Amino acid sequence: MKFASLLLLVVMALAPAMDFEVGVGSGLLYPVGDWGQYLGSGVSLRGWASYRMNRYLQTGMGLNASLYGDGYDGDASLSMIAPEALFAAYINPSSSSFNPGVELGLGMARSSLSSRGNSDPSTWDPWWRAGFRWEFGLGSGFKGKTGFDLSGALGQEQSAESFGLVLCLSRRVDLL
Amino acid sequence: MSRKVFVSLALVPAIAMLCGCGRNPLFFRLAANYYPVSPVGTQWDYELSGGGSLIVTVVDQTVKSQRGCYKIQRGTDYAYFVNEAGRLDHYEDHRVMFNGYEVPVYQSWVTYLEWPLTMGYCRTDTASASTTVQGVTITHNWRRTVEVMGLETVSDSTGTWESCYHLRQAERTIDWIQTGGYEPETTYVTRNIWLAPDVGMVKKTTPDSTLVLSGYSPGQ
Repeated sequence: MKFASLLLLVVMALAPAMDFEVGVGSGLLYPVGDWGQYLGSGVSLRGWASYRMNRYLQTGMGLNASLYGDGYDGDASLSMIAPEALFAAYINPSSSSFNPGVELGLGMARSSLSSRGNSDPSTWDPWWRAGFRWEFGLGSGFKGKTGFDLSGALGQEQSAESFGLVLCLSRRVDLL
Repeated sequence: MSRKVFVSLALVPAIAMLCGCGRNPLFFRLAANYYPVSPVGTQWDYELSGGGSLIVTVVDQTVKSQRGCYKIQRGTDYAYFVNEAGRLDHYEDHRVMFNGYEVPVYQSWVTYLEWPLTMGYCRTDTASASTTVQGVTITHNWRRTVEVMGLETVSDSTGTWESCYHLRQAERTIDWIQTGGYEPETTYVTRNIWLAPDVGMVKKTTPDSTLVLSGYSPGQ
């Protein structure tokens, strides 16, 4: 929460001179590798604010939250919260229907494993995300984005990668 | 302005690192097998306090009570385990001594542990059964509670085992041979068990013995 407030303050401080895009997204996550042997699929939620450096490039900050359920009939769940710095590049910004691009996020993830109200010690690990996006116009200044992400937390002795399908809604905000 | 933006972005991971109170191998624990019961040929050698040793070996893949499982030899005894669908199941084979014979009173697959383990995890299993032998009824009540006490590091002659789950297992058995001269017999056993990732049990203590891993060789 503290971090989100700080993020908001930074955004507000820089806002007057910037051409922004703000957005929210959600998706499905599938753990890849042994770390997910007892986990099932997960859901993700993310919000971000990005600055349009030019027509093609964006950079900004985001917050990702994900939750993985138990893969069997147990009660275990793994939650991850990852603040990130994000970078995006789109190749056809003038098109309202076909604007493919790539996104990269780098940050830290706080992961916590819980079961039946009990938790293992949580961990903070370097976190990354990379994926393809297809951006399309929705009218009234709104844009939709869909695509997929590969993400990973670089944990001690074992990393935790996931494949995710994402759907996002964003809006360009011109504050000048 | 761009410099401002980049400084702000660089602050994100820096602040996150400061907020982070530490790292621990959570994903390593999730990926590990804390109670391997396969493949055949896997062997654990234990040293017993006060001298002696115990060899535990996965000797066979078999079918017990209509379930495919692994047969494990512990000294002269056998145990049966299945590790599948996020659970470790153990074949409980409870017997009562009567007139010089071992009378089977309860046989069933019972979940031993559920994966993934977490600190504070607690599981209790119970069973009540009765049987009649030579016109005498024998009742059997059993309760086992397993609790994860913490994550610990265990050192023994084979090395140092980190990220071990410390389990406390409390087992209570009440057997009653319902004929003259017999009273209900209650037995309490408390065991402390340490499970190491991808190795299994590295240490076990009971009120009258301590068992420490002295050798481990995974089967092929």
